[in-house]
Amino acid sequence: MIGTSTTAPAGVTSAVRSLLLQLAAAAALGLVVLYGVAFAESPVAHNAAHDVRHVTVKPCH
Amino acid sequence: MIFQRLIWAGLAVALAVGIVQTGVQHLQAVPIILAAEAYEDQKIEAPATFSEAAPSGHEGHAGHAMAEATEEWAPADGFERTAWTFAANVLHAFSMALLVFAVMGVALWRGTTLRALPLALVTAAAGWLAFHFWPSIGLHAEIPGMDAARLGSRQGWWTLAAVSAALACACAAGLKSPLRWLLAAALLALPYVVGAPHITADPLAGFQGEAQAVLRDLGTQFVWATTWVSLTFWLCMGVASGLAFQRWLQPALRATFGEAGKLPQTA
Repeated sequence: MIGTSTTAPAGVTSAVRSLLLQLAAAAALGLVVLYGVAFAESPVAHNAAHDVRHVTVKPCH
Repeated sequence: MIFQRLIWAGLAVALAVGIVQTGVQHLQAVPIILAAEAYEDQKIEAPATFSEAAPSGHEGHAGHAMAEATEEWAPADGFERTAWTFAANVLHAFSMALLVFAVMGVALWRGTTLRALPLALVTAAAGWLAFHFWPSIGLHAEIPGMDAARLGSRQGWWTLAAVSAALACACAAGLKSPLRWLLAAALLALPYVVGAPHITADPLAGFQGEAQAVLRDLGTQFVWATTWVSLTFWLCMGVASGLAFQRWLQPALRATFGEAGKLPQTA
């Protein structure tokens, strides 16, 4: 899981870039999930998350 | 793959925060929503200006009542509704945990000397500012039944306020130049220079007499209730994500990014 790349200078740049990309991918997923919970206009999403939208002070209606 | 770890750690944090949040909300914020909804059928729908607020029917200001009127699915009051609120709370916490982890990971890469828990708490404080406080000053918490400006414009302004405040925090934390404070202040000012969308009429104009007075009081209570909810949310988020980060993410990230206080590569 941790990754087998060594910390040899030649390998660091691509290993670091890979980690940063994965952090960015996680952040992007977070934004997509936030959109679904808090902003999606689908009536089903709205009604299911209705109270959470109000409580977390998202524009709801 | 650190990505898998981010997902699992995010889910663990989300479950913990979601459980606490659903409990906190159930005690003090949800009762206000339910009390306000009891008055929704007394609302006199205003003609013309407000009708644009509901272009496709489902997002009318009467919310719950409107959903029933258009026969869209909505969870039944009681257990079903609380269960969906719990699910939404977990997903909301999951989304925030992933953003917190990403910010913490970048801070680690930039050579932060903070340990995981303080770093998580600082990040959570920035999260509270960006995702709660800054947007909420412009667009106050609303109870069901209140009229407001068009949904899309409020969502757009909310996004502008949140992104501006997040960028201001990033500037203040990440840049070296002394001008960063000026830049951060300018970013914080931006959404308020643009101005939050509001209607000129009273948001409770559709109600009369006692109902209007009760709802006005509930509205004030709700602003405070949501403030406490947000503070507990971000405090729990800071503690839970700090512990999860320390246990499941920091060792793997350190192995590649290097030790604290040292930038492994110029950036």
